[in-house]
Amino acid sequence: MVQLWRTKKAAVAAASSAADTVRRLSSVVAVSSIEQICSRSRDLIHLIRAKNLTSSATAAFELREALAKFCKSQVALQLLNGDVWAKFLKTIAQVHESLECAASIKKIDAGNRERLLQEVSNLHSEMSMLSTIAGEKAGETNAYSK
Amino acid sequence: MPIPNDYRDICEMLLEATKKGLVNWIEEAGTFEVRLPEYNFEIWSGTDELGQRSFVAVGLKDPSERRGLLDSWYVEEGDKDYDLIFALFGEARRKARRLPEKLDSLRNLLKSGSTIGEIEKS
Repeated sequence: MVQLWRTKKAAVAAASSAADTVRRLSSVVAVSSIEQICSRSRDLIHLIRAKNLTSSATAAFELREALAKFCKSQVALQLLNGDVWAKFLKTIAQVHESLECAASIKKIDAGNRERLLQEVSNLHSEMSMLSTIAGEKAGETNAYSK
Repeated sequence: MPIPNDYRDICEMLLEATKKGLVNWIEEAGTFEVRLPEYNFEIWSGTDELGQRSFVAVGLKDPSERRGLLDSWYVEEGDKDYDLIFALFGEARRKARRLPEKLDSLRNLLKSGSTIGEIEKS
């Protein structure tokens, strides 16, 4: 009887440990995904600043795709609620559409370019903060984390 | 550059139909579009920061495609047809922003003779 109780206790502890490992692993995956989004938004800012319209449109598409994939994951929904992710997705979708239009005629309105820079910069800041939060959850943040 | 030949009659008809209130224009992030079953007709405007010239651009977009436009072109200020395409852009913006209805509403309020406008909150 005692042996049975010990076995059950060990099994419960193992399950708890496994769940904890899955949680930590999810957080690490989240950090990696958000860092990738940050990297793409950083590239996009540089390309818009450089007035490279075709590359900007391609970079915006890639950022949109990365964000769309990540925002539907469980770990993303643990960090922010679905409405906030939907807002981010809408913003980057509009940035992408706008850059596609500009790239198609090789012209961009000066004011529109400033607005797009502002929106991508805001998104980049939000993602950087999220990366830190997710890193803390994963217990692996350090002063050099971006 | 002028309006491409295969678009000129469409732009003229679109302008007339818009003036008659027969076209539903929708504003989407600074672009005005007419949503059709197979594609969207889009029009947008700006000032090119390199050339410092105003332009009006038109594009056809398949909404199911995330990348690129089916076709696009622009007319710059001073080019032939700029007045026509700028008029279309202006009418599309007025319609999408429901300006005629808003102005009618203000006109009716003013005709009523009563005080209009909210009091400033302290």
